[in-house]
Amino acid sequence: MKIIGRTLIILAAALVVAGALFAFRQTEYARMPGETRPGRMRIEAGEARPDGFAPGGFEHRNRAGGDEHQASLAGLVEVGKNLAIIAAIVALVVMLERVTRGLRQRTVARQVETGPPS
Amino acid sequence: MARGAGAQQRTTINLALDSAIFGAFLAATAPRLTGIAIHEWLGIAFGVAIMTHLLLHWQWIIEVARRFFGKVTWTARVNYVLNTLLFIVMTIIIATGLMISEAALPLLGFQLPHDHIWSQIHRLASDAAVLLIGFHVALHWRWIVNSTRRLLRISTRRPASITQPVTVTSRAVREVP
Repeated sequence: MKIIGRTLIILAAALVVAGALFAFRQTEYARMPGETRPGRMRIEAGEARPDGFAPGGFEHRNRAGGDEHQASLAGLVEVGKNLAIIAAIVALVVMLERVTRGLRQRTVARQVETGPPS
Repeated sequence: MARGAGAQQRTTINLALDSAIFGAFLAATAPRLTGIAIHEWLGIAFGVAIMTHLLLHWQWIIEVARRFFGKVTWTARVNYVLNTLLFIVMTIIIATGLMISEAALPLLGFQLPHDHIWSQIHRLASDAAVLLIGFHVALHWRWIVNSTRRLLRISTRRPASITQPVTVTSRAVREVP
């Protein structure tokens, strides 16, 4: 019973997000063609079609080119790229964490050496 | 002791599920590798996996939400904000993915008209998800390393586990100080 209730809460939260997304789709901003939209929500580079849509489509083209309908080992490049991004972020955050921890420990050690402030 | 074994089991389940989710995420972000049909079904299954992940960490979610503006560590606070963003982004990915579905939804009898903006949002959100997952993994890195180490140490301490009954092996493991 508890699990059903919690599942319903998660689904309700997801529904709120989806509702906001659909509400955004109805706004004038989202209805505007790509080139006229301020700041351009365009992701793909390249020339735009006169109807305002970005060239190609999700189902026919991806950033590296090629067809997404068929499975291909060339997709491993995408996996590798994403894995590299995640690894870089992890390395950066862990390194920062270690540096700050070290600095904090040094500060505490210095405070202990000098004694409590009178 | 039984409590320790329970915690160990919970950690193993969490680690296994999280690893599976991470693998599925990497595969799902590469539709060229899987093909569009598997990409879509994987995305739908991913939603269920996220829900299980949230249910397993329900206590933490509630505890931090209750004390968000009170007594809670900054790490937990940052983690909470990051996880909320991740939930929003994942929901957007799944919702827009369903809107541009070409294999999964048509198979279930739903045919939606193509709308290019859903594809754009889908891509934008998946790019954001890669970054957020990176930070999510980074913030849990110590737990991942420690749990994996503990798990591997246990498995190397029982070389005779194949020939011994499971109960005896688990008791022997529990007896180890």
